[in-house]
Amino acid sequence: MSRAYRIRVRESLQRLIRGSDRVGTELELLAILPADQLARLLAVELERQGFDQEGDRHVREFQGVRVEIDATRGQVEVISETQEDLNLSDERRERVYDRRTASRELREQMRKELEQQADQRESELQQQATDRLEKSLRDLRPLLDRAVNRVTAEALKIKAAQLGEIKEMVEDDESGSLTIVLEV
Amino acid sequence: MHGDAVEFETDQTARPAIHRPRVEVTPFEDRLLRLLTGMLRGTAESQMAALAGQRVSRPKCLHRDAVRLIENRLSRGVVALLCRAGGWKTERFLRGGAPRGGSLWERTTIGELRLEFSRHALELLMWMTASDLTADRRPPRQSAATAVTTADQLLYLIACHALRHSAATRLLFRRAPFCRDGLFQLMFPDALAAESWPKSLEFDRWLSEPGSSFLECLQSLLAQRWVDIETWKAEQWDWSRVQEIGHRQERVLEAFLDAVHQAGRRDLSGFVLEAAGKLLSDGSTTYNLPQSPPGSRLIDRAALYRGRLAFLHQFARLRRWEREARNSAFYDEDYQASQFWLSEWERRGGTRLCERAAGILREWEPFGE
Repeated sequence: MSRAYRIRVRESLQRLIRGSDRVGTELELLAILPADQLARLLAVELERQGFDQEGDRHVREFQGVRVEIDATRGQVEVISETQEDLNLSDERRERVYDRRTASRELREQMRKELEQQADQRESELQQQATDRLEKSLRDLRPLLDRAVNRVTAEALKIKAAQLGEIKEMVEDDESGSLTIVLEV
Repeated sequence: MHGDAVEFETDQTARPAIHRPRVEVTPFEDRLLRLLTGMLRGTAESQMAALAGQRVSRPKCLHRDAVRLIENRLSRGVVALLCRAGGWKTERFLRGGAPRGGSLWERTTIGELRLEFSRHALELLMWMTASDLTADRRPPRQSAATAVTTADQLLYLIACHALRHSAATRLLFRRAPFCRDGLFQLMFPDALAAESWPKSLEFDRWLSEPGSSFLECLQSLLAQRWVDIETWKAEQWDWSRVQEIGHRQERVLEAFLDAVHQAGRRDLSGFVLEAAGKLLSDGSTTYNLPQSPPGSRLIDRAALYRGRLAFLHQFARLRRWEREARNSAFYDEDYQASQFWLSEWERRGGTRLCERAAGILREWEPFGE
């Protein structure tokens, strides 16, 4: 007569999981001045908006995402990253007749289930990164537009001064309009 | 056993019957002639596909009478096709930097419109007749001893266009050296999207006579092809395929616009505005923002949006051309060509189309308002 055994199997999974997303765009700067001058004006404006220079880029944290701007090329990249140290474990007890085979199979099954849980959690992290990125873009766009408008206004003032004598200059911050009267 | 083939008139108006001696051809030759006639006359694709979908043994050579019939059919049929495609229209294109109006034969002297077919044309027809284009695996390599002429390339384009929806295209579209041609890539970016990008893409033969005149005739055909591709993309859920095709579209259109700009023939890109006129018309839903695949990342969505909008991304270049043309002074060499470009731009509503394209790009942009 076969004998039944009671087995206890414990399986665990440790993994560092990450979720990330990114999106890029270009700032539309009118070529009022040479590219290098525009780049300098943009750099000044970005620093005014709280960006720090790191190498050839200006960066800042904004609503949980990282914004990187290459002032020379006018390229913007927004990066959302998140990570988590995942620790999963499971323990089961079963009554079996073939201890060795049953242990192996049960362990294998538990490992697959833990892997599935880890994958599921990774997808959730990924979605969180994407949601955070999407949400931040809604507020980031106006901020970048304001930066572009200010750079354009400064560039226009410099260009006007090169063309002639500025007789009058009226700037309306609310409407974003700029009126320059020149004597050429 | 021989099949009989009788020459027929392409002109369908009632005329006194012309009696010609009966010509005997072999079944292979008859099949070839039917395939050729179908290509040139726009026979239903199903019939064409049936002809192209059977393997038959290929003779060592063709009879003289059959060759004469092929020559005759080519010379009349290709001319008739070009006329039907657009040669008959009274249009304006540049000649020597200045616009010239009229039909194809009014704009260009007959001498410049010579169709010179080489052995490549006959080889192509024999290969198409003998092969099962739906089942054979590899296209045979073409000998490089004889150069492919513009007429040969045009015939290949006609063949591929006639069979473009059938399974026969799988093999046809990979036949070297034809498939490396720039206009061919421009005409079928969807069919060629999965193939590797050619080492060199040449548009030269289509930017000088007679190729440029042929390209003028094919403007509406090209426009319709691009409309068909964009419409197809709008209905697809296989986003990776859309991305693949969009990437190919962007590359080939950019290369083409570079080539025509360098050659001083921006007028040959008129099909872009013609296609845009249909795609961006009031009420068009081609570029309605689609629902994003669930759980997709923004970076992936941006990549596949780029595939969907590949065509519209080129409008920034056309807008630059418009600005350059406006800045051209009367003493500049390209003044007449610039003025002509502007008149065509305004005739086709270029500014309105560009603004609409820009609006769509902004709406789809992840940073959208």
